[in-house]
Amino acid sequence: MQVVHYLNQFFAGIGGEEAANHEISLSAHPEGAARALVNLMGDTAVLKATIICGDNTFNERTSEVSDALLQMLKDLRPDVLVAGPAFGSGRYGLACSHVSQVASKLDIPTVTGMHPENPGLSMYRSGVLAIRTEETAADMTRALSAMWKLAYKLGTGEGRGPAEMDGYIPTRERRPWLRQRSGSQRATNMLMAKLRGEPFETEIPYRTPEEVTPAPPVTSVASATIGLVSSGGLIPKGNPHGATNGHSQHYYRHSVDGIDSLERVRWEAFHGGYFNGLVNENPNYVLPLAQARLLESEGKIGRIYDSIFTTAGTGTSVAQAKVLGQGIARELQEGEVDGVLLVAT
Amino acid sequence: MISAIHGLPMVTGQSRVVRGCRIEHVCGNPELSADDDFSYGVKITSAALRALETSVTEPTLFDPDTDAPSIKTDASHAS
Repeated sequence: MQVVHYLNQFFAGIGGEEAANHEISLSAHPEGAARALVNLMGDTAVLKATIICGDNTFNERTSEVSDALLQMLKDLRPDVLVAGPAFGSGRYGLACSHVSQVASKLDIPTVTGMHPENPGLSMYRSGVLAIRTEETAADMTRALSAMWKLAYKLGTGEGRGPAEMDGYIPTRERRPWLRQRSGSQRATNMLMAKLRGEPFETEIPYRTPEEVTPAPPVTSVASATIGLVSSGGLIPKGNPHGATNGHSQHYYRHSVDGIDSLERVRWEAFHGGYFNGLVNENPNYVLPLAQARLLESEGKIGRIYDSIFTTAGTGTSVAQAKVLGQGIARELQEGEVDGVLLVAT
Repeated sequence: MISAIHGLPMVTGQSRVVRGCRIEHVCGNPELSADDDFSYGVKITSAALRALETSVTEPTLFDPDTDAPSIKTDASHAS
């Protein structure tokens, strides 16, 4: 069996952030983490190459890098590709998922490894086979071993088993398998365990929303700086920044310094999750600047922060939304904003 | 958070939720006269400010149409 390992600049041993612009390159030898993979493979498989690309390069020039990668894989034709593991690293995770997509064009199966909240996974969930890992490389030995076990099954054509057995994060495609007890028995056992206060494991895990401790209240809005944020796809007319109408990768900061109202000739909505016509008539419906300005003039708001933040929330994964939210929160914090009104459509 | 589908932020753990009008016009109502539409938006915004000044320990719904400080909704009943 022939194997190719994809690694980023860090895990290939080239360097950290300073090397994140490393061009995509190919080594005929096992580099960095690929050496550990070779040890796991023993004499069951041969590592044909290590493909290395800087995380910035991959994410900033995805299409160009993908073309180069496709050509490399066409030449190498491995039986299976191993990518990462990327753990909790967002850019690396996105790259590994993308590598998997590129390889699938040549019918080369790929196994990667990621933390379940890695944005790379959220973005390409259905097609990516990722062993569940911890957030950091402390989990490298275990993760890589699980990845190799699954890669071996794919490389030999045996195929994957159910997620629960092979340790990967469930895809949309479920693999049936025979359990020893019937559903009614298993459900009853779970119920009994629950009633007795004993631990039990559900067969259908529910991803519970993150619990956020409520922020303490603003003491007096009349003397506070208030920020305005919207996930309703508010954009300057004509979409000069090329915002998408969902599946958002970015949020946008716009100055509203000296602006009393969001005029329809200057603003509009671009959001794939609701009919935008009414907001296009009155953009203040999706970010109440005009209304807040009145309250500011009446002294009920100390000051409206001079920038607004917008994105289109629809179709954006929880993990990605978290990244955007953290970015917006950081900017608001730097602007010493005391409280925020967020309009969600 | 001002939302017209307040059940969703309530079940996902948003701390302070303000009831908006409709998804397509969260902070107003185009069926009203221009003046009333604007006043309604001011009322929604004021409710949001009231929410900011209120101490909460769990997802709490603020209704622009009432002056009560807040309405607590059992999140498990929201949809």
